Amino acid sequence: MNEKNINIEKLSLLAKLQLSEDEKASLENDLKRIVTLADDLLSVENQLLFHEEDEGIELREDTEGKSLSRDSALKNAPDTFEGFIAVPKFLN
Amino acid sequence: MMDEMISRSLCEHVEALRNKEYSAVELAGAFLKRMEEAEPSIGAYLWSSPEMALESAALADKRLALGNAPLLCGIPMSLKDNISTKDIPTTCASRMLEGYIPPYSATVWEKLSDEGCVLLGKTNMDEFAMGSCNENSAFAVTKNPLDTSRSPGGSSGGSGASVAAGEAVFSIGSDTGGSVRTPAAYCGLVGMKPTYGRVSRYGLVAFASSFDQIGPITRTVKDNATVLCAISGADKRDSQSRNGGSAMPCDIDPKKLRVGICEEFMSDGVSEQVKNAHRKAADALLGMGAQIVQVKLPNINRALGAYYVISSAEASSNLARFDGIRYGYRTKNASADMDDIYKMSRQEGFGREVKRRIMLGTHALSEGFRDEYYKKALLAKALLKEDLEKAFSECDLILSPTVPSAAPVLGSLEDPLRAYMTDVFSVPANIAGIPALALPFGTGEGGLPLSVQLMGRKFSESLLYSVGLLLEGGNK
Repeated sequence: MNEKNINIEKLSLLAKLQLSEDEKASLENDLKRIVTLADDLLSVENQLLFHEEDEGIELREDTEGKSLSRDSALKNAPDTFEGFIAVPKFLN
Repeated sequence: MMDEMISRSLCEHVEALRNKEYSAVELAGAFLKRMEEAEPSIGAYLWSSPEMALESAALADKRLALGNAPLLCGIPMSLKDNISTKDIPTTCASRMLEGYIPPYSATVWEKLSDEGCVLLGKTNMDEFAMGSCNENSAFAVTKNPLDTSRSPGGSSGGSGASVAAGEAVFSIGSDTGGSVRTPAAYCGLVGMKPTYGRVSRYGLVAFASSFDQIGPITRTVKDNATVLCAISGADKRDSQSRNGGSAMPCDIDPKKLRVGICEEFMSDGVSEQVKNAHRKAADALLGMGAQIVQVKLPNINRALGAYYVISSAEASSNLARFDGIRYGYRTKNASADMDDIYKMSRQEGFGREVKRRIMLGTHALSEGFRDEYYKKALLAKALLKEDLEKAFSECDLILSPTVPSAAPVLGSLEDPLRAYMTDVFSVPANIAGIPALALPFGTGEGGLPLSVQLMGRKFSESLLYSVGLLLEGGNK
């Protein structure tokens, strides 16, 4: 990958990570080195490759089945309110 | 008696329990005592409950007394902490999931629990399965029981260490780029990454969904096959899973065997002792009458790059679910802004290696790079699959080293690029979806175990185990 094009600010926004300035610098350096692993991929020619899998994916029947109860699903929520997941108010 | 009990293989325990040589409670007790002794220096486990283990063992004894108990009933085991266990903590060794208790169990744990296995505990790992040395855990560093200054391998390092230290009869890990086979190699054990789809991934916390597979880590080849048979099979909850036939080894005539060797694998980065072990394994099979065939894998040098692009891309997508909202860690530092909650929760919850891989994957998928790198990585994956298919028309299986060196000293692979290079032999099997078996073979400096790897066509685990038995016999 072209190391000059690693936009660490943009990547941290896309990845939803609030990185510190030190982390940004360090990760940018890491990524510039790690992307050299992908250098060999640049020479792969674009081509049509049909690769049939051995068998198709078997889908289950579209019927109602067992699912988690609301209480089980909410058990690990950081904050709940009357059967809902509670988050700080962000709409006025 | 206790030490001797702990050193037995799974198959020996199965027989001993049925002969009433000892009970499941006594067996569990021996392992729990061993855990008490070993854990302060090894640190294989993140969670254990002796009370729960003894309760399970008591139930197993009742089933054994009835005379029709399943094969693995009463066998003490450990489970990597990225495998969901209902009502038992599952952290993926991450602060993001500290305190998370799944409301459901993974299929693999349901199967083993139904068999009557006794869960000794959940094992330490690299955070979210990202790593090869088990030094990326948010909670603890696990040491190699064979030399506590060294890594047990990763990411299923706790699993490997628990078996090697006599703290479990067998363990279940997961393998995305070598994470069952590397700990097996460094700890002198047998580790299988099954064919993609042989074992259901339902309940395995996803890292790279097109590569992840669950596999056993054991002392012997026969033990490994026995466990794999118990956990294999199509599962409606994993649409990629399918039935692949029996994995048990059978008698084979080595004179009819064609063993592929690929010289492109042997780069300068491979240690001389590893190359020697590989050569000796090939010579051992040759001595039994097998034919050694040179195979070409022209795209093999693209495997590592393709692996890290695809796996990081998939990881960046899979780990997007950890946003501080429905489960897992939520920051207390955010303003009343949803974006802030996501960013701060993820920043505080994830460790460095996880953030690194998420950023790498985000880069590979981002505008302007996706076509050049992600799509090319997918092409390289398809080309490598073609190379392997062609190779398997010329040989029955491929013999390679498992890892480029014996277990590294803890802290010696802090450079991420150097750490990633240790996956050079293991990632091709994940990319192609084929089975790969790591076997101890020989020892190097300081008595550290060395390991060789057998790779075969899809669903050829039975053949790999059969050849594994031949090499195991030759390694004594």
